[in-house]
Amino acid sequence: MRIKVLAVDDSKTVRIIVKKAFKSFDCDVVEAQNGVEGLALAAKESPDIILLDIAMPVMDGVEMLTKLKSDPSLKSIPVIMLTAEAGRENVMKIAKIGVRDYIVKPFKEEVLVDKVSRIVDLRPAGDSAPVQKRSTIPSTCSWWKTSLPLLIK
Amino acid sequence: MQQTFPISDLELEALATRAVSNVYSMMLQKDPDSVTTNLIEGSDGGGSAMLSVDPSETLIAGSVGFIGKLKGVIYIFMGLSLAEKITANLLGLEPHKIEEEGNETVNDAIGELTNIIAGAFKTDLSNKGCECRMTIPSILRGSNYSIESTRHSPEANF
Repeated sequence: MRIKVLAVDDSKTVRIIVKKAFKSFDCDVVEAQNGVEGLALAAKESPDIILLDIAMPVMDGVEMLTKLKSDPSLKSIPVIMLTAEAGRENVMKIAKIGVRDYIVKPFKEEVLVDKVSRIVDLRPAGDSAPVQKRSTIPSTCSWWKTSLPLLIK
Repeated sequence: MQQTFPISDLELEALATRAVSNVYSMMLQKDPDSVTTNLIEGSDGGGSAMLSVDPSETLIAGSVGFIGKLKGVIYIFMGLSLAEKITANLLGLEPHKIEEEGNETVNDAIGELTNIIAGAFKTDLSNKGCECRMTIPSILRGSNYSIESTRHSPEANF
């Protein structure tokens, strides 16, 4: 099944980097520039996963996430936050609302693909086998994996 | 009333240098050619940010403001030629393609680069107990200009 990724970021640069990261996978990337567009596209396109920036004009990622999680038809869509800020206050705020994972910018394309492939069955384009989920936690994820449960206590 | 930094100039300089170095190496897969540091005391009513580039070259400054325990604006300055190289590198495009893409693409890339550098800096400040909130980035573009702080605002150039 072809995966649909919704990338919500006000930066065209980031949206291009996200599209580039998934170019070789059986995957469509749809784009929104802010939370308002993101919510509308989430309802229209029913994406398998949302990659969501935090700091955006019009409607920021925290507000969009809050509205998404309060909408019964959208709340089950998994969300990975992309943010330039990794401070404790910031992490606690989004962890409480409900995100599946968190990536601090700048990120490597491989990290993005790895994290998405842990949530959805991402397959190489023209291939029927899903991308192997790694059995060990890469070092880039370890902070999140170990700190999040402590932070949200 | 003059704002004083709640952390020392040396710590501030180290945080700024680390943020720029980390972001450059991660996003551009290279070390910055030169991360030089130079503190300007604003005792005489502020200072101006100086950059050693050809004054006729178009200059791009990405800026991100932050408020909280520490208030201020972070500017990342560079000449247009470097900004185009960075944009090409980020987007995986040939440098000549960037000119075809136009100003908006370069502005967006440098805005995002500034946002990420400021984010890394802010995260380190936060870990030292200086919680702040950031604004979205904006871009200044022009030639032969300087940015000056207001009277009694300390300014640190790195």
